[in-house]
Amino acid sequence: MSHDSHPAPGNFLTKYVFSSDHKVIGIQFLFSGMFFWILGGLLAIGVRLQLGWPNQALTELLKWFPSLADSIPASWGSRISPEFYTMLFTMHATVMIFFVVVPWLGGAFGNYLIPLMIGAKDMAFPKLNMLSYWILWPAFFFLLASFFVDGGAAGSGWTAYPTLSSATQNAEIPDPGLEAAAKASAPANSPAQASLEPSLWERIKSRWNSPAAGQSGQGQVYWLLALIFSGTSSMMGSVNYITTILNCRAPGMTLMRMPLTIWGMFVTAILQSLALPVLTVALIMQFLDRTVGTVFFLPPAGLSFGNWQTGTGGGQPLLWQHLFWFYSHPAVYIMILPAMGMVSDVLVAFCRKPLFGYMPMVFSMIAIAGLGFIVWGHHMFQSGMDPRLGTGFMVATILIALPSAVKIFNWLATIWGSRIRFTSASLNALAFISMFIIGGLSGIYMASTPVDIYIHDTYFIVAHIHYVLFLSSMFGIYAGIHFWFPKMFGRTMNETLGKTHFFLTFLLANGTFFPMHILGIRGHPRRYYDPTIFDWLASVQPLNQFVSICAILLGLVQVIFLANFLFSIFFGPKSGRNPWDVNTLEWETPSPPGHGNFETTPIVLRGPYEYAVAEAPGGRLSQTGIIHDSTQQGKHS
Amino acid sequence: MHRFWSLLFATVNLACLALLVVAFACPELGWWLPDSASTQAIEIDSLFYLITALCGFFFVATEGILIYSLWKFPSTAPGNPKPIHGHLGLEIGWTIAPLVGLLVITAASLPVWQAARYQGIPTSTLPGNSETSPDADQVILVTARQWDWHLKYATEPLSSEGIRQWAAEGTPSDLVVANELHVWKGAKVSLLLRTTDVIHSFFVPALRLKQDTLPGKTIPMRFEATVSNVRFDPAEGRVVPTDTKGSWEIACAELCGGNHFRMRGKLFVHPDRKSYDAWLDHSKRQTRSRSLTAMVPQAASSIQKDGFTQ
Ligand code: HEM
Ligand SMILES: [Cu+2]
Ligand SMILES: [Cu+2]
Repeated sequence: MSHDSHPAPGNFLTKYVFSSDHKVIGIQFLFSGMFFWILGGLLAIGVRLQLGWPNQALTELLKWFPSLADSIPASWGSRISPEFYTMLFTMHATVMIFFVVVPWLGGAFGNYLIPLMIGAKDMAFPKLNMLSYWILWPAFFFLLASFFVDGGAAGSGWTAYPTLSSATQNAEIPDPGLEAAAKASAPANSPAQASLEPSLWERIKSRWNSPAAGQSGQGQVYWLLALIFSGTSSMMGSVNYITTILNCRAPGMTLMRMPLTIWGMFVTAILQSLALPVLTVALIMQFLDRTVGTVFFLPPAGLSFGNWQTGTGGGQPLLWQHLFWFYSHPAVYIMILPAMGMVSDVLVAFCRKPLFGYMPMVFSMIAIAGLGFIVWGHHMFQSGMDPRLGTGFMVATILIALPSAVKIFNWLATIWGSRIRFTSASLNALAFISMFIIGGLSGIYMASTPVDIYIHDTYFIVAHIHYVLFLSSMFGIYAGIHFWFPKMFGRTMNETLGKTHFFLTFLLANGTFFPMHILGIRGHPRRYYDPTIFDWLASVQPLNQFVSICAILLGLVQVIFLANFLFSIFFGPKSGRNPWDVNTLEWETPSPPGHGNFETTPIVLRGPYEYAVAEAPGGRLSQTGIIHDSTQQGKHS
Repeated sequence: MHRFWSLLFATVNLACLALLVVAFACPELGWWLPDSASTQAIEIDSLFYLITALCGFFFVATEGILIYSLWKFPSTAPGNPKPIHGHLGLEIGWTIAPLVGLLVITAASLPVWQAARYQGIPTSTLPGNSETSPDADQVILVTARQWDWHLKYATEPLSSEGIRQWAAEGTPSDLVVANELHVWKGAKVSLLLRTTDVIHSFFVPALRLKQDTLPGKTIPMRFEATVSNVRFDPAEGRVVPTDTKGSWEIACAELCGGNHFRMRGKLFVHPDRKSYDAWLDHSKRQTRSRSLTAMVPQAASSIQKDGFTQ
């Protein structure tokens, strides 16, 4: 295999920066994700400040931090502007989805765990793997730079629906601004006609600014570029994961002996590689609409915006939604299947009992992935798509709840009759299960097309998203970090801090997101700058305020996690090879594992979940058959 | 200590449930579904409760088992776990049970969806369905733009073919009003939704009606109001509230720019056609001199003729 040929790194730069070692790359993804996690969290708090105290948040804030006054644009007066608000929620979602959850699950855990858990020395394509991380940097650049360009970062939602995101002024009709600029720069005696004709470059530049949305100027173009690069990164990762899992497994590691974490990663990688090209194409089409003036998403007669118009079109705004959701629905599973796998492994480790129903668990993941490709239309029930398509998508969507339910029952059966050790890792995993039940159930409301007529684009959706992505995927990530931290850094995280963080996060996240169901049932539309102008929403303003307070506290308590994480890297107690006493292969290696991972190639004898085995010492059987005594491990690691 | 975690899970789940129950049981809080004032609203609400009943059962059962397990099976409990790897019967059982519930939801949803949305599809492509455009008592063309709604009321009876013609060209006697939807109780209202610029979404909570407007398309929508909230008072020359129902609002539900939240309109359901006609006559007299029709941009109208066909 190719990984045999790649030498141990020589110097600091090749070891820690431009490394092709999957473990280093995984940790790089982990740290970049952490940076964006903080950024995304701050953006969310901005959103909640406005919604909790519409039009007053800034005044209040200035009382506390008077030094901010200088950095607030004069045009805002004493409030966050509506355009700025659209930027806040657009960038919050973009950052959290494409720069936190996807890179953490796929990039960080995928990279770190796949070779270790299947008994490989490294990924199949280590150089490609390195590239998959570094190609994220252009994406980081465009994402961060977009905050500083004219008009600010993108503001047409993370879904970026045309024509809001893409409509540009007809470049054939001279832009008054451009004309004035040309006049100003032209020498007084030169023929004015010649200099008035905008050059191609000027036309392209003028298209970068979409007057359709105050906040979709150049920021939207940067947004598109950022997503194209981050998608390329995921694509490289997926190809690598699929190849590695198919070709680099240790002897005896049959597919049906793979831990569920690996199954989650495997199915996710397949989803990614099939769905991502479609998103990339859509992004490029919108990019072309915005820059060179193609009309993929502009209807034939063009659009009229009061005092300005687009040119004539020939495209279809709905096309974007189909392409976007063809990727983004599978993407929601990309953001949860690896977490489901990790949670299964963490759960079994602390229940000391075999996983209940390994095969049904694997098949339900495959079913979710398969059905996941034919349900994208459930995001478009009210879009003006033919309602008969809505019927078909409803049936498929309702069916996809079934494998999710099967997974829940199997987790419950795993816990039933076990002996649970409550650790930070296992508590977060248990919370995943409990909260995924709520998120899955709210999905059923929206899958029913008539009910969705009412709750579509209300806070009910926002509640659903956050129950599956924050209260499920993020809790899965917390569980994973607590669980594999000893392997990554050779030390364990502090349990007291871990449990405190869990306790507060669990309470506050429910306080933040559960009342959103009520807001949605009341009919509160999402992406609203100021709901209080509506009579029928006045009654829920106290809930909005409660949500905002919980959200701000929720943001604050994440500092506990961050501090615990950073502190433990340097000062946590040394952990040894197998601190949790687990069967899977990664725990056979030193903590942290050296280059090439395994001292000797492991030979896999059995599945990963042989616990509660009365005859075996310690009640468990390692996948390799070597029975380790965890108390002795610390010495030779 | 381990009991603590079981109790935490119990508390959080019960608190969530309690919030739902309180919101449902105390309508005066205004935390539940708003007034429901159309045939569609009644059906959608019943579906909502059906799903809530089934999901509520599933929720209580699964969270209950989880919380009980945390209480009952901590690592300190005596004895050892059994090495059980699965059970075929159980797997079959818990696949079929939710499947039945899900199929019930699907079956209950289908007719409501059809009633709400299947009109306007050309009959030739839809076997056994009603005609393209069943007789409507009222036809209203809703044109969305950044950031308001323009409603054009047809004042003469229209045939189903005539509707398309009218949507594109209009007739001189039409009335155009900004942000006010006037109908009468029991009228079969046919809406035609379109936009001149970006996607918006016409959302009337009291009618449980929501439909995106799509650039380049005219989308038909129907409803029938079942409760009235105003009547026209000729003496005062304006509509006055009839009972405690108060005002019903119209909102935009699809992000359409910075002022998305400002696309606020009002729904007025008159008790009968007489009141509506009085309002219509009055408004026409009021606006004749002002030639309000000029306010509706006609730019995109030429492409709207083909109605729903994609
Ligand atoms: C039981 C399974 C599920 C069902 C039946 C379901 C159903 C739905 C439906 C019908 C919508 C569209 C609602 C609307 O816009 O009107 C939706 C939105 C969404 N779902 Fe799910 N869902 C399920 C599980 C999940 C999972 C596991 C995730 C992610 C981990 C997820 C993430 C999302 C997101 C992010 C959106 C909102 C996208 C947006 O409009 O911004 N869902 N879901
Ligand atoms: Cu979806
Ligand atoms: Cu809007």
